[in-house]
Amino acid sequence: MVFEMKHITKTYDSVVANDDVSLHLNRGEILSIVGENGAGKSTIMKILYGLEKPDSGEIVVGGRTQRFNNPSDAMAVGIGMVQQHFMLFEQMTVAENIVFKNELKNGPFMDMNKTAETVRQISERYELKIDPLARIADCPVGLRQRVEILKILYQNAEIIIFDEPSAVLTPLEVEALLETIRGLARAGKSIVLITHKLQEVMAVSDRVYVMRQGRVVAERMAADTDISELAMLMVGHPLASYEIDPPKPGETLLETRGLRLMENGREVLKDISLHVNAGEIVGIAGVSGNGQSALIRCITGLEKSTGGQVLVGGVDVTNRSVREIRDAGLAHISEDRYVWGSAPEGTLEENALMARQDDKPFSSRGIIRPRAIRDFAVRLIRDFNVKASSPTQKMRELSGGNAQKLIVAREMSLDTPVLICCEPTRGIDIGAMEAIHNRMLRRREDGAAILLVSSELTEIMSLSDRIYVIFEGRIVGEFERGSMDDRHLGLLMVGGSIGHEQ
Amino acid sequence: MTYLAQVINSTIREITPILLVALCAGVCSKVQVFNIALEGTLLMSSFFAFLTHYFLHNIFLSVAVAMAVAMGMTLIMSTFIVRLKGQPMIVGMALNTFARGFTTFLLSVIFKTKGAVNPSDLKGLTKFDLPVIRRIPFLSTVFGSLTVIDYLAFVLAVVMFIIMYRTVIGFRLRALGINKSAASSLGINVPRYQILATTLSGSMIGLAGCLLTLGRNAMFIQDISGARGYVALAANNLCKGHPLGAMISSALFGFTTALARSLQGTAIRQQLLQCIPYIATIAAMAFYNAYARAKANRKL
Repeated sequence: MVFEMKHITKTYDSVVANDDVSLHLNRGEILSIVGENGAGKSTIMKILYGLEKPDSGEIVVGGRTQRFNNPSDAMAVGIGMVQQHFMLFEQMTVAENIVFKNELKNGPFMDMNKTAETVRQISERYELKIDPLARIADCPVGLRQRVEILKILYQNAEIIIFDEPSAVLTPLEVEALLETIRGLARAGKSIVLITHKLQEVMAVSDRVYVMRQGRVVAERMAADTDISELAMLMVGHPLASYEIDPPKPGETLLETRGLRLMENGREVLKDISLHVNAGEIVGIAGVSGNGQSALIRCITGLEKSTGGQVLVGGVDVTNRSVREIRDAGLAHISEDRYVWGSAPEGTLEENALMARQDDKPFSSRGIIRPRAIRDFAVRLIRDFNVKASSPTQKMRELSGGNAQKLIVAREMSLDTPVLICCEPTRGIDIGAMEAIHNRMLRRREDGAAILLVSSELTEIMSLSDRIYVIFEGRIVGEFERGSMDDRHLGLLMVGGSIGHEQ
Repeated sequence: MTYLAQVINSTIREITPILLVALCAGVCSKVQVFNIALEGTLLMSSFFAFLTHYFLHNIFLSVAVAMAVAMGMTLIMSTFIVRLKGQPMIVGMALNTFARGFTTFLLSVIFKTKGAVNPSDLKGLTKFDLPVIRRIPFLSTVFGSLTVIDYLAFVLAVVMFIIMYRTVIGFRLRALGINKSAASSLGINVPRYQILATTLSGSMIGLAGCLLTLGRNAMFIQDISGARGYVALAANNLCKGHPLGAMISSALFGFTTALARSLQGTAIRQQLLQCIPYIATIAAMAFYNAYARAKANRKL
């Protein structure tokens, strides 16, 4: 046993985040902790890593009771954590990032040769290939994560905690990550994986704890369980699988014709022509950064395209203002909920009002009517089961999932013929995800045309009637529901073609 | 020929105070403490350098006091910004306004004047003549009557480069400026580093202050800093906090200031001449940004 946590309890104000949690980890083992957002899995790991202090309970590492005041204390006994949000120095090199705080010195000077050499040695020992002299700014996300792992290995960690490591990765990078995790375990490291992605849990773990509402509700050997059992344990009830009727053919409500965008002298969108019909969900599948964001920005008016047309409900709205495009009948659940989707410092009421501040009954002759806004906000909160203490609460105080639900509620309440959903369920738990998916399907039943962009391939596959695959700013494939499996789709997403595969 | 040598000489003297302040600004910007109190700090330290010298006739003590005052001002600035989370703009403006009022007040209380104090019996900083060069006609004028601090400014630029880009401490400072939370996640006490680094680098403003009041003859004029703090801020912006780059960008501003001065007495209006360094500032920034953007575009 490399560590044991006994009867840990932690409360924030009146919320119990961890309620008498006990768990342990064996040497060389890959342990997963699964649970919905807010189930307490991150809290328990923050306690283990010294970021939070427990109210009661005991942590035993290497046979001794430990008291961690900060991450340095945890690091000192060999516990390292790969955070969900990378902690890197962008303009510096890989090697510099890895040795920070434990620099290799030559008197007062940095010994850069030795640094690069040491980093190269660690990277070879654990088969984590990396160029020590590359700048972080030039590294893709997968490599940055690798730097985070190397950073921990450099500090001689024996226990490595991964917090939602695949949340930011492309499917190929996830494969590489899982292989890395297996390799680390083979090298004798003990691994804790916090995640809500059950496929990954089943792919790598030896043992699984399921957490719900701050408690450990189950412990299973991975060999003795399966995804559906884990999902049921997480949510507390069986998961709905979506039963989707075949689409009723409707008229085209959203269309782009030869859409182009030049950005900094680079063509980010190359001749994109697509259409979405009434009563249809159309997915855009692609590795993020292949033009999805640019496409949505051009459609919604957040950016001016440099060629081609956008039509909403048959009306040409190319390069019109956001307001005009929305008035033409389009709502937009944006990709970043705190940058485009809401004002984190605003109240829930203000955020609910956005986009309809000029409409009756919320204002008349330029004067806002608070009563109507309050009623409306309360209705959205209730309808979508948003967990909030009051409509005058600040948006940023909501958890990610609840903030997202409010944004979805707002955009859907506009009842527009066209709905754009970008990453509608990114980083939120299964319960909230199900709720949002069901609403999308209901809007589809009502005859809305829905364009869905998501980095979760399973989300695209399970909801879409049709899928466009985008690669380097170009549509490289179009498929009907059921005519494609995820392996082929994955291949197209990285620029392969189907013919070449065999 | 002698005229040219004199222009170069006065350019060098214009460069060095700006360079010293820009070096401090460089450290501040590298550790992400936005310091616009440079101007007030420069004014305060130049006043106290003069004051100490006036009463005690001790040049070493004057320099020490100027450095201490500058470090004190910088310490206040960084404590307010880093520890007390003050708005950098407000903190900086407050200190600048304070420095201006305080020096003017002391000037009128101690010297009973609102303009200039120019005691003829008081000598400035010791001049330092380079051994061989003083015998070469042209160069002797170029490097004539420069003080130790003038030479030190350029040495310090190189020293600061070595500290910031070659030593462990400099590495940590640059890194924490790039990502504070990453640095603190590894157990670095970021505020302490920020305050220590800015305060220590503030001592260079003290040296600049000495140059202003004791550089030629000992004298103090109200507002003697003359926006050099802001110019240094711009110079630092231009070189992105790089100490060696600061030599070039300070030289640009030093040159334009010297140019403006040497054109005095010609047909061009005085007020227009005084604009030259500031117009050069704006032009240089615009030009540099356009260049940087073009370079970034090419890279893509």
